[in-house]
Amino acid sequence: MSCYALRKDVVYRKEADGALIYDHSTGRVIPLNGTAAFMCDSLLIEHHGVEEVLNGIKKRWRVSDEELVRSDIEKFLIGMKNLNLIEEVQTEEVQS
Amino acid sequence: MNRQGLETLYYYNKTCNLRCRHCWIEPDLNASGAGELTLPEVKDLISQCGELGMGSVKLLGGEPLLFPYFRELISFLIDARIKILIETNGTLIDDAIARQLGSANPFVSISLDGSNRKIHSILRGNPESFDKAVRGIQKLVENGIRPQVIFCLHAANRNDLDNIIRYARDLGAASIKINFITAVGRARDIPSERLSVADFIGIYKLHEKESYQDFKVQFDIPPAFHGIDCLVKGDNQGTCGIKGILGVLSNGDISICGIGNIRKDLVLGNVRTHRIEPIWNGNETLRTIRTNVPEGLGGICRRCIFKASCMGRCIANTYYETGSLFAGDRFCTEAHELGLFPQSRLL
Repeated sequence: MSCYALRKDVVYRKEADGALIYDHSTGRVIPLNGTAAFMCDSLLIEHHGVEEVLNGIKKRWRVSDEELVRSDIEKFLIGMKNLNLIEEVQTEEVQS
Repeated sequence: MNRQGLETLYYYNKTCNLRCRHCWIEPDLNASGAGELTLPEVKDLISQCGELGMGSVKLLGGEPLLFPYFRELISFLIDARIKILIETNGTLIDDAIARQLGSANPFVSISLDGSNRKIHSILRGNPESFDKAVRGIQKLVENGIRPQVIFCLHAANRNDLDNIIRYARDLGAASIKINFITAVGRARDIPSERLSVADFIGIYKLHEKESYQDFKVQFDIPPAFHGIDCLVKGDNQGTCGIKGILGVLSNGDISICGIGNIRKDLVLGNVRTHRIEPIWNGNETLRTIRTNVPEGLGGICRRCIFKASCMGRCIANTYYETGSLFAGDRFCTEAHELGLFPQSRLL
């Protein structure tokens, strides 16, 4: 089984109202708002699946359109891949 | 070898019709203009810069509307399809200039340091300049240009900030930029009137989420201090772009920006005796800047995650204050010493 994680040389900083991702290789800083930071935490650090992340979002924010949020989670993951900020890792590797 | 493209020529008038006590350029008051570049020389300069990829010219000062050939220069830039940016005190904008600028779609910034004559003239010293600047803004708006208002925040106008934001909106400006006054040029002599770094950060924090439809409130503060919301929106991220800039003073002196007016050791040549291309591609100071910004920045900048976008904020200012271009920004250094630099933005 594999999942995604932030690249090892990427710096992730949580802040009160979101988070920042700093990519050493490009010098670029990507700011994440509160929801995106939650997605990042859940998907890429705690390695939850999309449905679990969706449930987490529903607990924290009012969600009127689940499909839209599910699509946003998937778009977030694609965006992170396109920015080359994440890498695929084996689940066992993550657990160890 | 990868060559750095020249993006913007900053062309400074060394003379001014005001004598503001916080001016960093220290221009001559109503100087005769003797020894200044002529229009054909300026056109040649711009053509040379165009060959290096330059797409925009920023006219500043001193007061750029005091160039004796201002309108001819604007016509030349329009014909050459070069983007025009102007930083002016606004006092000399008449109907003819406003009409001409209206056809050029320039980015114009006009200084207003208060929402009324009294406050505006505290550092500018000329009460009439308020009425003239306001008329200048109105004339631009009448001709389809929504300028940016530049407000230099200091101890005696800090309580006027809400008023000037409202006033600038009412005048039809597109944005207001709130500047921190650094101890450069004449501003060295007004230490008690300048705001402290701590005060400026505090005022920024009170206003950072202020937003209006169709009007922006921007603070001249390094991105390391911007909140997440502001960073996500992409607002308020004005950085210097030092690597793509060349500064030329109206006497022909070439520098990295306007700093050559007050630090002669940063004059790289003169357009009357030097071609631009060899300076742009071969001058040691410019090469050192390209090599060291951002990776070679020292001090607080070395550890900052925003160094690639901020580029040391203003290395000319750093040079003025420390004698090194790469010593690290003084505003951020002081904020860090005061415990006010956000730790999450440091490596």
